[in-house]
Amino acid sequence: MLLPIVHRELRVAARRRGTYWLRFWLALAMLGMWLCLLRFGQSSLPASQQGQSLFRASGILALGFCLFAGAFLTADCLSEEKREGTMGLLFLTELKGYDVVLGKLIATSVHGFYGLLAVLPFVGLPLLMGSVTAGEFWRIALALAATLFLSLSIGMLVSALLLRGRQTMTLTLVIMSLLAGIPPELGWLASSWAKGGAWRVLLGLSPPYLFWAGLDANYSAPAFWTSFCAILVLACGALLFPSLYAPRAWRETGEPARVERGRGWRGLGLGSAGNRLLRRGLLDVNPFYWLAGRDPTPRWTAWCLLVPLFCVWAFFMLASLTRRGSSQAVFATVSIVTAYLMHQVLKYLVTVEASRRLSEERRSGTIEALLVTPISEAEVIAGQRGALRSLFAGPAVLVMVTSLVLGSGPAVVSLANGSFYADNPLFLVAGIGGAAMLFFDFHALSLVGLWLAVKVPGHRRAVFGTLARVMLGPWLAAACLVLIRGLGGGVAFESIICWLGVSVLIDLGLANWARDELIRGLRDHAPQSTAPKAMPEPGLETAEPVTVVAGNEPLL
Amino acid sequence: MTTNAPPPTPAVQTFGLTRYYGNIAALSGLDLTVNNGDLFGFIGSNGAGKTTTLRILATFLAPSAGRAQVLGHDVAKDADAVRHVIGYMPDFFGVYKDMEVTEYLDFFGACYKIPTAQREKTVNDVLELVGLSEKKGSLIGALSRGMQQRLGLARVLIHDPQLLLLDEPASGLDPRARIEMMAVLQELQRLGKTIIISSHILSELQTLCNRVAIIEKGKLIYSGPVQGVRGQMGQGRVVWVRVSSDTAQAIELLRTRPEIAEVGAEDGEIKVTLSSLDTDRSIVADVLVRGGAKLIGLREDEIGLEEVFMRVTRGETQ
Repeated sequence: MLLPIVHRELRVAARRRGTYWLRFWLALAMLGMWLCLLRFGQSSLPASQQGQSLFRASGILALGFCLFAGAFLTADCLSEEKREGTMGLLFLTELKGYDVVLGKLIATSVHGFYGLLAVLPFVGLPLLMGSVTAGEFWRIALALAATLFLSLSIGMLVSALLLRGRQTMTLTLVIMSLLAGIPPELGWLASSWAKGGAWRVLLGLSPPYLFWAGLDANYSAPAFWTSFCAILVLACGALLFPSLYAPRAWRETGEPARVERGRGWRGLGLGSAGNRLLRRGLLDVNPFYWLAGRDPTPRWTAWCLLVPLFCVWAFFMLASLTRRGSSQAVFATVSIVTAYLMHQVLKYLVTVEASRRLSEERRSGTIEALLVTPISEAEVIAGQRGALRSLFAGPAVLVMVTSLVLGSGPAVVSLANGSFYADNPLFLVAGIGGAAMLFFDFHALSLVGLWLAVKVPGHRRAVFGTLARVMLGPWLAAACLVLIRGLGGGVAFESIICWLGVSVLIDLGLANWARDELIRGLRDHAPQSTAPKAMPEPGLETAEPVTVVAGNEPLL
Repeated sequence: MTTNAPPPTPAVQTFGLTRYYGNIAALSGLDLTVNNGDLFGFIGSNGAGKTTTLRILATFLAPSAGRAQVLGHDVAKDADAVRHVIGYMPDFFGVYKDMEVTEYLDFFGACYKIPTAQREKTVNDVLELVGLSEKKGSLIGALSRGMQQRLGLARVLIHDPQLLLLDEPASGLDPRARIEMMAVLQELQRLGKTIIISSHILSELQTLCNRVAIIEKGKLIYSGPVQGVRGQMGQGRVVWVRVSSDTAQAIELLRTRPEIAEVGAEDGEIKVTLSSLDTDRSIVADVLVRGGAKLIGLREDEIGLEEVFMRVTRGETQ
């Protein structure tokens, strides 16, 4: 049989309700967003321009889905098999590396491609308005498919290399973000310094560039097809490595040996013996706080991701404040986008960490040992939130400062120059609001993440569910706002206020709901992963058991 | 003058305990009593309801109907008090592989609010008890399965609970580790703990436990001492006799006694069924010797827990 593992995985996928629900929810979300764009868009524009604007808006959202699908679909598929020890069983058969890798890719891609198929009709709706050509639609569809393929392939590559789900998801997101952002910036810098077409090669590796090049307004066949081929080659290369590496990766030297090897890293991560002794005092304050905060890796991950972004932001922010002319808008845009990215990276890391501890406890079976102790639900919540605070306080301050400087910088400079720009109040509100939203989002993400870790199986689903509940609404709202009004002075002050208000309400509502659910259902739901699952169908009549009279026991 | 002291509270009492998963009853009206100091074996096929019962007693599951009391505390209404007096070891339990043995126990000691000053001594004591003192500084992930199981037992004992609920504590252990685990359990019983242990290794439960309960399809079908099980099944004690003289004459001699219910020859031996469990088996030898028969062998038919289990259950699950 060709690719037998595909057969197995497709059977498994076909039994999952999520396979069908993902399509439904994606299509519904796209429909809702489309109607919003239609309702609140610039109705003064002619229908053809409205159609083009809708086409781009829905296309960009679909591009976002394709860019990051790999982090949630394929990034943990091989690493999970390695963790569970089932990878070796596959390679004890006649299966080759490419069997497993391609099989896993196809099986996990089903969700992604179904999702893309579900949203494509909505992306193509402007065709009916006559504002988009068939060629443009199919080029964008190709760009989305290539982006999805690249994202899934990068997920496979990372999954073959690393072991932990949290690491694989984060690294996939980082790689895709870099692929999306760095080539255009490098290409742009190269084009300013060196004339000629060589920089296009760099640009071509970026999926957003492929998307941009596919639009009629920017279309040039060599640029589009070069970029398309470059992305396909990159994706195939990303698949080739795990095919060669996976058959070697599963051979372990034994769990105890691996654990002992990790002792050195552990010492590095958890600090010296003296430091650990100091932390031991936390056990008397809140044991769950001690447990949830003992691994400092998330703090270092946050610093490693945010500091480079901060440097990029600081460079472009300074440039936008000091330069004049057309380049100022470009510098300002890059600094805004980078600051926004810093927010999202930090929120993503908080979400991953908020749900990781209890998800891992459920997976490993340690949750029952923990919850059979008299530790209270309030202690678990307080401990997890305290640990998040201690892990992310520094990075959060950095992002808040970024927001505040971004908001107040233009006003300070214009005051110094004795001038006033109409956008200054908007920047101020967005900056202060963004910093405040960080606080509200943390509040919601920490509680919703903790609750979904208890409620849904698997860490990835908990992370995805938390982000979808807390962040998707504001993200979509922000995306729609920007796509409808543009980044410049067209953004209405009232819209920003309204967006902030809605986000705060969503955050507070979700946080209260999650806290109530945790207090009420932590002990009921958390151990369910190990509760008896296999029950035969009801109605299978069996004879009554033999009843025996038992000494001083009641007669049954 | 005599005082009417109230009977001691049983360690565990369930009254019509019922638990549904959807519309399937995993437990149907379970009435169970476990006395203080018992080492109580809980036996049943996979899916019979053992784990569900233990999880209800450990406050993880709420009963759908009926109630359960642990050392006088209701598991549903007074769950926090129950958690203080029980130690629960699930059939499958994970460990924090990147923790050291002492860190692990220190953490659980803190969860039980044991003061810091006392924790260190307690951790040392329980490690000594389960034989892991030499592994104090080891990472848990580097311990063998048997050692991790013993560490699990140490974790259960950290707050000195009065009742231990152990779900398959010996599963997956090699023979040596199993024997060591059983020895630890006997020591714990000697120290006055009440232990409920569910296991599939019935031969070990037979020698270990003083009382057992057999459960099938969520219903209790036997509860009582291991030794009394044959009587509860309506079968008398059976003694096998071998004589070197005339077998027929020996049978006739035995039939004259009212304490003997049934006598027959089987495979060169005489099968003697005593009419009552209280009958002294020496009566058989006495009758034969007085009657002039040459007795060369006498043994009582031992009924094993495995045989009891096979007879009273039908291998049915919910």
